Amino acid sequence: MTDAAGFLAYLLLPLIGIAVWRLDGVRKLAFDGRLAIAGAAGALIVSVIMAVMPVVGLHWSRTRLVIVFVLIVTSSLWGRQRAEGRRQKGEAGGILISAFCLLPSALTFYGLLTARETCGDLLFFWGPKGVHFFRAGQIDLRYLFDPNNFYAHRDYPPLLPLLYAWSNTLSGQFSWWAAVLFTGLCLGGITAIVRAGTRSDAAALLTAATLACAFASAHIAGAADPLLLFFEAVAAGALLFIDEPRAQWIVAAIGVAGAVLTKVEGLSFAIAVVIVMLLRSRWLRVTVVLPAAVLLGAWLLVIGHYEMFDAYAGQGPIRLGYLSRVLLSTVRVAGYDAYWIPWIAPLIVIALGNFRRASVSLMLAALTLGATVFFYLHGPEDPLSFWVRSSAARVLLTPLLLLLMSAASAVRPSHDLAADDVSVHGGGNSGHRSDLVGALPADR
Amino acid sequence: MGIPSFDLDVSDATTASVKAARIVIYVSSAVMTILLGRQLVRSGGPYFEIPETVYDHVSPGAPPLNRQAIVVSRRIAPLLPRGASVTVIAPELAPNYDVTHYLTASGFLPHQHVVHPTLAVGEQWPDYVIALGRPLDHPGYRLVREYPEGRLYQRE
Repeated sequence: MTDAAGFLAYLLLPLIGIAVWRLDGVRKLAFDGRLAIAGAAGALIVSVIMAVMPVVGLHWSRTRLVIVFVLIVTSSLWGRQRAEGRRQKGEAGGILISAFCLLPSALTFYGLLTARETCGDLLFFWGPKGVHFFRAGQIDLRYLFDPNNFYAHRDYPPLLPLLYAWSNTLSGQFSWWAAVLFTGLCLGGITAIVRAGTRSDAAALLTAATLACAFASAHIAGAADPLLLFFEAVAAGALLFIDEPRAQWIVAAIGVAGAVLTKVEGLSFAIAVVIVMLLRSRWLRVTVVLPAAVLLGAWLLVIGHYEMFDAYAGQGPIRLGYLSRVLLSTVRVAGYDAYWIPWIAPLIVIALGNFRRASVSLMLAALTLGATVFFYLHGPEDPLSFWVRSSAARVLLTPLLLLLMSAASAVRPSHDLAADDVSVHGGGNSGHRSDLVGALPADR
Repeated sequence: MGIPSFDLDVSDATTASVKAARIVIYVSSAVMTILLGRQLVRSGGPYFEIPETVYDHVSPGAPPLNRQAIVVSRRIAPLLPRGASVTVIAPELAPNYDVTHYLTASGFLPHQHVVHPTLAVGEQWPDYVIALGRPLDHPGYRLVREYPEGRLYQRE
């Protein structure tokens, strides 16, 4: 019962974030894609509200949180009903995911349920933080700043522990199994975004099979990495696949904000987004990182106020002498027990497909890969020692995801784009395509 | 807009490259799914039981000590007074104890104060010690409970 209630808390996230379904660019996605984006919005809403409530004197309780979220859902559904009246034809998509896409996901759920993919970090700090936050009814700074918990990485962003505390609120006892299974939901969400965005089951299949294989090899269940990847997929998916400017901005902002509040590496992703937008002279799109900057800034202000910077303080000077060993260690780990097929397959698909369409996410992949190497060059230890070996498999998942999204972009069916324009923008909004998608007229 | 399909439309690509991309996707996905299955099998049986903890099958062979820390922490949680200080160690690792053992317990003993192992002379000893693996040989502690996964000691 505890596990069911704990898992239900994660299943409710799309309902809490359902307001995003009002956006034209989201409404025309297939159902699974809409569900995933609403889930991302719900996760961000839940965590931000839970972080803010104690600040205004409202410590968490099941009653308080349920009331707040029911109010949000009610207002979202009411607004959505009004929006339905304005909905234009052509919004629907398929619900059924092909059996091919389901197989790797099913194997992942098997691996999660039999405790074969669990990450130690769930036991060491992500889970304990969620438990202690729940007990305190707020972000428990006393726990975070206790010297005994120094290795729990006190300045890591709080989004995942807040979601765990939300799950704990519904279940009463913390459900470790629900936390592990949440990884499966993240994988499903990423696959759904690629599938709905590209309208290609083949692209979704490649994404699901690759990430399922990499997740099992990297043992990331219950850690923050699956959620980070999910938010990154939301942000990149918005920039690549959503062609309505308002929806693109909002969904991308949700993805970037979620990423920076989930893991330190989310900041590298946000900076990569800024650089790509600047390189492509998409000045307005740069502002998608503003909500993320505000939220992360608030967290860093708290950490800075107590002088508790750790991971964000950096690791010291760059050690260029480490370069060859960093690259060697990183490449070794990047095989994911699959002979580097997770990297080789999408690269071949990109080469066979439309390279220009893949350029945005390829740049993001290259920048996040470069950031990984850059940070490893600042490491305090020899790169052949424990640090790179123990973390690279997880950290490399971001560039791997973006490479998969590049492949998905390269083989994205173009006829659907044209059809969407007629059906959704035909009634007065025509001509307002996003600058990114609109920058690809030759592709269509 | 329609139901997603397996069609690949690579606009300026040739028919041959479309077919090739499709083959690459199907073959690589099949291979990676098989390799995923191999990874799952490698971590050992039993294969069709829900394990006792979320950390049971992360590696083949003997259960990791972190898994034992979970089991013992759950069993002794009702026995420990609220606010008591407790640490978790594997005595064979002394004096370089693995911090992940007590970090693990911090999620399963939320009513107690789980602390870094400080068992040397002159240090502030915790009220309780959970020893994983070998028994604890320490003049300041007496054995309270014993389980297959570990032992509970109380400060004398």
